[in-house]
Amino acid sequence: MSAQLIGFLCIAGMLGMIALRMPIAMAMAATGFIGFGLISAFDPALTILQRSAMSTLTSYSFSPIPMFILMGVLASKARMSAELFHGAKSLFGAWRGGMALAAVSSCGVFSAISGSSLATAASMSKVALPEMRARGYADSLSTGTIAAGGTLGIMIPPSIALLLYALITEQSVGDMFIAGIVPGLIGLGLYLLTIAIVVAIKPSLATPGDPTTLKEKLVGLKGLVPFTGIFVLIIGGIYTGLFTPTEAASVGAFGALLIALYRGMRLREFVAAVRETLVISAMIFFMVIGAEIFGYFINVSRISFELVQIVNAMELTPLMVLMAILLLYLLLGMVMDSIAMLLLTVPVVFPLAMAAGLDPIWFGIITVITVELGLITPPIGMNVFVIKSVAPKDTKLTDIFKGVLPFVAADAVRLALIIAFPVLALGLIS
Amino acid sequence: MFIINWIHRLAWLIREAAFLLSLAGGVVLVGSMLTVLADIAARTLFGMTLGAINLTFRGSYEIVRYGLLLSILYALPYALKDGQVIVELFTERLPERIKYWISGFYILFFGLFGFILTSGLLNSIERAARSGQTTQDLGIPMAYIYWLAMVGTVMLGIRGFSVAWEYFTGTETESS
Amino acid sequence: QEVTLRLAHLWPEVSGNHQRVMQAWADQIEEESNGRIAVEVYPGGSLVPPPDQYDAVSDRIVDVTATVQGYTANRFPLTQIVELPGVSDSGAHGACILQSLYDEGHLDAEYEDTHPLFMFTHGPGMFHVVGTEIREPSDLQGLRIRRPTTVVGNILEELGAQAVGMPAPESYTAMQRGVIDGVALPWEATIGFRLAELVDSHTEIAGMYTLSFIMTMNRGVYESMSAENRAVIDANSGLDWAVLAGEVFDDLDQAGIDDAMANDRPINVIEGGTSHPDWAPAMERSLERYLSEVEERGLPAREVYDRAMELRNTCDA
Ligand code: NA
Ligand code: NA
Repeated sequence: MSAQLIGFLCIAGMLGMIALRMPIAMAMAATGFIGFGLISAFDPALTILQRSAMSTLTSYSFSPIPMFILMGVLASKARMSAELFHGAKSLFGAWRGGMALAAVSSCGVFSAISGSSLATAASMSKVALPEMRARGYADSLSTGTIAAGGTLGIMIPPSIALLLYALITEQSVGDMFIAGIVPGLIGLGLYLLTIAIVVAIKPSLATPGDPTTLKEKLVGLKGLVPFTGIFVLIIGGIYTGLFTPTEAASVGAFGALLIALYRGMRLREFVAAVRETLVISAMIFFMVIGAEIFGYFINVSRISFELVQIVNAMELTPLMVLMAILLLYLLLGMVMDSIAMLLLTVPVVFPLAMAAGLDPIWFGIITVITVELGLITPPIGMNVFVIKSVAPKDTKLTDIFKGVLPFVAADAVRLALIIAFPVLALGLIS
Repeated sequence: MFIINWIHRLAWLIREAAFLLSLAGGVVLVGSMLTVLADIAARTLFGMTLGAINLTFRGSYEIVRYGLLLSILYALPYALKDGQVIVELFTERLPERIKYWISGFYILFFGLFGFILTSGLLNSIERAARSGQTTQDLGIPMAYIYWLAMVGTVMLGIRGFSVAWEYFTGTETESS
Repeated sequence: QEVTLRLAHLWPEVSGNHQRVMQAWADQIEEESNGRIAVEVYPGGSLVPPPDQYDAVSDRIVDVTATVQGYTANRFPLTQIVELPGVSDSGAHGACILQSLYDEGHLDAEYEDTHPLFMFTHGPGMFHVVGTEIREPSDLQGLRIRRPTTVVGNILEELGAQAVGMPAPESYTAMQRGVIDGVALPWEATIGFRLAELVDSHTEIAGMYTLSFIMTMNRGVYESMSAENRAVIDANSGLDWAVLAGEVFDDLDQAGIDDAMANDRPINVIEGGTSHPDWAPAMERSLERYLSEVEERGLPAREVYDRAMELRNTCDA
């Protein structure tokens, strides 16, 4: 039996086990172990299991994840994210679905200090979910909004995904970041539009907010101040060279801590915040470890290699090559984490894209949007899982996925726009 | 019955131990955050004084890396129960009892995984002790780091079996 | 086809190291074995991340790897003697010295876990800095420089600079943000990590340092091969491939030099390299410190160093 065939069978088996309530982390680990064992041998497969935690958890590039979560938790304990959200909320006043609009806008602001979708989703969901629930928003709309809003974090710099792409393909990191700005803002705009449309079609999903006067709106803006303080500290620090984006996570968390202390946070609350941070981080890292094990199997199965060969053999036009790659990403995105996917597939498909004559930076932006789409598409969507872990216990995963669908459509529109008008990504680059 | 009670008590003890370990993980996490800040402060001073004030120290990068390792490993046992992501779509209608049994069954494997990680660390300790491998900047023998990590993986193993027991016997009451 | 070898290495697929060494070796093996041995190449650390690559071969997660010994600190102390100031002049030169040390058996104790195929080094490691020029040791005062190894870290600190430990791929962002003022890397890396677009000047102190690399194979896999297949592997091990891999690094350095010339960036070459009187004391002290530390562990550091210095003369620079 060929490695590719074993690969496809194992993935089918994995999807079956996931359907039977197997924790995702374990499904990835088990599939990785069995698949690698069948293709190569079980002794080394066992060694991969034995090493998985050590090699994943000592990776410097993962270190901002708990810090951004801590920042989010502290910010919400100190009512900072809440103020950001409420400020945005009063701007939208009596609009039906105003809270969802406010949540997406807040995600957009939060993105500018967050390199990670997961952290954005985690932080904003803590603030916005309980309130939307209390005001009678459907779970699907509230959770879907934030799961999607979280993905804004990846285009608006700083962005771990864009950085990784730049390093793998030897592009300028600065150019990649600049190229992400406009697509990120387009994403924000389209998400706002999506909410307006969804709520117009089905008003029962959301409730109107309380009307606000112009003065209240302005007071609402004042609520953004402490958040903007941290934002300026981080962005200022990064751009003046005080620290790297990776270190910025710790600085942001410390800034949030200072504000929390200033507002009278007690030791007991701080301990609770750290504990909460660790539980959310643990949930993410269980899956990161699983994905690491799974990655070994995906690699030796040569499934992506096989797919590229097929694409190659068909002598396609550049646009068709691009479409084929995006299709591949959508398929892989169903079962894989975005960072792992970038690391695994970009080295393989990048030469293909270059051979087809595509612009490397433009291709990177499209790739990262598509890969990020995987964070909110079923059955495995990391953002959705993060929200599931933060949301009230009775929130259903299926509801979140349902709520996220309209935003998937919005992202499809964004992709189409950027494919049709490359200047949207490349315009700001000299 | 006496045995059952005794095991139940043991499960409670294990839960408390996992909780304490997660607090240690929290201390490590805050420690690495402060390390980064100290590093930034020291080198800013170094840069502003053109090297005259040199409080800079080596190894902040390393502390962050191994800090991440320990803080997360120490949190995994505590978060084992609530930290799992499950697709419910196809099994929503099963009786609660069955769902508990299924969860218990899977959690057993996390316990097993904890012990597999432990055996891997034992191998690494042996290898590191033999080759004298240390960390790059601080020169800490890798074997020490593996020993520290092992506290977390052993706990994960024990806690996996203990949580499975709670699910199987229906004594799973408090969420961790 | 009898055997499939999985070869994982750290260079990107687009790099010369991949195309001219790793893939070339794979093709050569397939050809000389008449297709009995297939080699699947996994570039860019895609199968195994760099720090774990050596162990991955010893545990047979992959069959062959090319990696940096120094990723696992203090595990290959005698090997890393080739990295010391004043030992090697170029990639090919360092490769010849290192491979000869290994062939003569000086390094055997460090490689019991795997079956080494060949060892090599990159071109001369040097300084690339932003906003300033390094002409004499005092120019380093107060600068923050990314250091590749502890030995270079010691040199930097002796000269009043701050040695910053971070992975090479992080350097770009750190330098762009001004977190570091420069890096110690070979010419080739200014292109590979895109640092050329950020730096303002270059300073070469010939022989300051290099980095050692190894291409190695799982011992069990090697021993379980047929005599015929083993002969193919043996024919593609040793000095020839070592020197070729070093030469490729030297060739790639040219791209970095060309880029600096094309953009009129100053290139300071310190006359006499590590033996220039202004620079020699710091170099010698870090060299001495390294050798005595390794000796304290009961290893024949001086003996290996002395042999390396003899090989320095017999190997072509
Ligand atoms: Na961002
Ligand atoms: Na997905």
